[in-house]
Amino acid sequence: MEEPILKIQDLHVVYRTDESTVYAVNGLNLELFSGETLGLVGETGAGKTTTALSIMGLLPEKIGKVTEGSIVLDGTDVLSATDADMRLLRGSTVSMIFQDPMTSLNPTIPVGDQIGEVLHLHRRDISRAELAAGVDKILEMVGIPAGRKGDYPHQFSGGMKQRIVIAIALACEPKLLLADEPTTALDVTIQAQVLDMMSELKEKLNTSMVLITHDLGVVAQTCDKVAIMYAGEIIEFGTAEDIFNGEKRHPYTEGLFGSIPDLTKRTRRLSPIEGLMPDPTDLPKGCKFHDRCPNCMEICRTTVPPEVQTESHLIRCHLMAETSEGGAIR
Amino acid sequence: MSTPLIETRELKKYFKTSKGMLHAVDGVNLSISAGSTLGVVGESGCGKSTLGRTILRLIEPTSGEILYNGQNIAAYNTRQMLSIRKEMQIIFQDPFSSLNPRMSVRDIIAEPIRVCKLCHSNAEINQRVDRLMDTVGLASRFENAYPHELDGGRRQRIGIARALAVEPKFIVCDEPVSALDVSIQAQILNLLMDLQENMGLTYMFITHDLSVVKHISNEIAVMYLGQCVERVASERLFENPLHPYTKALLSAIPIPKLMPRERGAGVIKGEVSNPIDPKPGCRFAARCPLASARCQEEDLHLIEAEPGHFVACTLYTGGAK
Amino acid sequence: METTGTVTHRKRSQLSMIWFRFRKNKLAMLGLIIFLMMILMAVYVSIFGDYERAITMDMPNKLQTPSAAHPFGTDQFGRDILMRMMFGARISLSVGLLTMVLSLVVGSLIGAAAGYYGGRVDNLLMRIMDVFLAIPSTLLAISIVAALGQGMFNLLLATAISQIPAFARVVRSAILTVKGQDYIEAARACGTRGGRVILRHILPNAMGPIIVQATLNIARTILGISSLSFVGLGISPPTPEWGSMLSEGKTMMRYYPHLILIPGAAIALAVMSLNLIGDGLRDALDPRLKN
Repeated sequence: MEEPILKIQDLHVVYRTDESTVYAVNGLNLELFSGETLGLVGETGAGKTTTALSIMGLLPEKIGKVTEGSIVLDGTDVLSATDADMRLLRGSTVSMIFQDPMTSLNPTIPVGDQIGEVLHLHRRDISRAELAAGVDKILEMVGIPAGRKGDYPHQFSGGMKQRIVIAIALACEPKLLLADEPTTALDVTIQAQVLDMMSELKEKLNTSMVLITHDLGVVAQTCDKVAIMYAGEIIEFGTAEDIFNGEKRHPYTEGLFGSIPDLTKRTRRLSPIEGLMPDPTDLPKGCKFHDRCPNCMEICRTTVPPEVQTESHLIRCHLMAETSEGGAIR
Repeated sequence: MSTPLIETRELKKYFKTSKGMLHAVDGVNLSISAGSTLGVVGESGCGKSTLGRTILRLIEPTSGEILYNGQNIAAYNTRQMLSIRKEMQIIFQDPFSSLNPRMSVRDIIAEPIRVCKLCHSNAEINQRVDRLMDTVGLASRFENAYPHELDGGRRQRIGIARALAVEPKFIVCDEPVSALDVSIQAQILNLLMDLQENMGLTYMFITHDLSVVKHISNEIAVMYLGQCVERVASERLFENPLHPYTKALLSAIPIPKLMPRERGAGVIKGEVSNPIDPKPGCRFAARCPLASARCQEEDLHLIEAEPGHFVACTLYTGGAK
Repeated sequence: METTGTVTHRKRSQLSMIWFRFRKNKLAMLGLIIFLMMILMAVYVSIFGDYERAITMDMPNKLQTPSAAHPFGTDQFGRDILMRMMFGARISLSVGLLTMVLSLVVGSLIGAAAGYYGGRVDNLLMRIMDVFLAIPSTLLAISIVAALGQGMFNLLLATAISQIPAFARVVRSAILTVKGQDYIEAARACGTRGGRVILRHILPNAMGPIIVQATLNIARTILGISSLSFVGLGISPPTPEWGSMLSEGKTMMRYYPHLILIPGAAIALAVMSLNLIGDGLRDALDPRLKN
């Protein structure tokens, strides 16, 4: 059996400030295999970025803490790795693309040098000529003429900056790419270009990807597997087929789909989810979604719902537990 | 046919920059009838935000006419503008920067009432604020809260209450839901539509999100680099988009459904061209898969390709009168 | 972290948040305590101090080193240095404060007009400010006092004028930062006039940098007044003032260092504590600097 490239077990992450403790991630389990793309879907505050930062070992120093759980990345235990170990992993084994391309690039260094820096870090013995050739190749790969490698970030548009960011992330051909809302800040036509390019590259380099997004349309277009996050937990997991065409869905997922105006139907009113995501410093007991759920039952208020698994599809909900037959219950 | 509430005629806004003249809004003709919603769609740099603000004269137009109930307000002086300012308001995109961080919710909503001297006593003002908070679905317990204590959805409701405080007839909604989470977006959209129905408001709804605009608009105008390239009733735009840019925009939207998709299908190449001192002819020609030599010669105007459906494209000028 | 949940309890108001952050900064609190002690001393000195001892000459007891009768010794005229220092604080601190207020008000008005109206108004006002900035402040103050004559009021005026450009600049840039915000446009959209926009919307949000500038400014003014007194253009004797004490003691500092050490230390302490407060305020007002 193939070993997963990323295995997260029972992850708990908190942010501790003087005033309060924020329970950002509450028992996350995840597995990703080589070449797969996982869509990590959720709204603001669900804990998606925190999860990604934990994998990279980049939680804010004094404030962010992993209190429980394990993260194994390509055989290495991230939580017990030293800083030096992590630095070797970052860029070569795992790379991250952050949300805002405007602030991800150093404005005072030409883009060619920024790409070269990554290459140089992980291939100490690379010669000058090889470095230059490598930079050129990567720029062409993301659709930017190699002649522009001496230009500064401000000379590029938003879409091109994001391509450069992607180029830096893929420069050393990492096994895993974490992309945190990579196209949210871009226009829809540029988004289409960038997503297209990312799929192409992913295939060529056989990179696994965790794509963090709130846009179900993007997920449908690019992801093999989908995990829906709510208040720091994964409440639904499955293949794209399960989530989009499955028979049953978690009430929150149902609500997400209902909030999106459908281009093909004419509906008078949207059916949004009532209320707001719970305060992460003061999470409710039982199912964290219970106070917004149209199907809330007594048991939902008191007991954490079990995971109900049907083949590849996993839903954490009491309703599913009741109505499912023959499904494995954890 | 009754006079439309808002009409623009060859409205232009140019900005002088060190590199040349930036054509932000370049000859836009629109009309919005009372009680309806015009959706204005386009990507960054198309001038839609500038258009909205120019119509309210928050930005001074360079040339052209803005007709409100048939009167050209572009020519009004400050005093005349003051008297009609309360009939046209604006809701902003960013729930962070659109509210004064030093004022409480109550103060923010009351401020326009005070400035326009619409009430005679503090008690009256308070009553009005209470009613407004109720209308937009803000619990009264938030009245003394400060913006930074509340989430995006609630902040946006405050912005809406503030716009409604002076009882306007026309509201420019500048990307009011773009910065909100999906489930909150739906709540706010529903609110805006209910308000329109109950209060007979007229909206100009500016957004880059085509799925949102279809839901809320009667008519849609598509903008590209300062010009309107297509304008038609919203259903029709999705059934039969005519302009190549509109088609590209529609196919670029990721749909939340699993469907087989060819790599590169509907992806337009290139980037938006420079809005500074643009060359004559169609501004989309450089990226258009159907461009011809004609496209770069003639300056284009909206032509009625089918009844009620206007488009500015050489593909449809042949044979049109 | 954003607030995504409901407001279940009243979170701290902005002011108490700022105070909370300020309190955590040990150096800033030290500065605050020192400065408050100096103010208390200046306010209550007339109760337990004796002004006569500060100004009456007592030649037989001149130039005494610190002792029980005179904790800080006496100067060349036999006057008690401790008393002189404590009474001198009144002048230094009060003139410092008044000057700051004067230059703050005038500078803010100029900066606000320049920032809000922009264009030619901005250009004109800022170029005038540039002219004043180009002249060294001490020199400017000296020339004003020299022209108008000595005296408290002229001293205040001279120092204030030299400080106005700094305030104008800070206020102008603060206004430019706030001017582009959407809530300012919202105010204009319902017809709010310039004056109200500036007073109700812009200035309250630009207070941060202005307050910091004001605190640091008092320190500069104290130094400025002391410099003027040092060159003889400030307070006339026998009124005690730190700068003039320094000036009077300079000829004898070799043999009687306490003559200049005491007033010098007082000036240094006042300036240092104000700088610490100003830095602390800047950090407390801009939380992004910390995390």
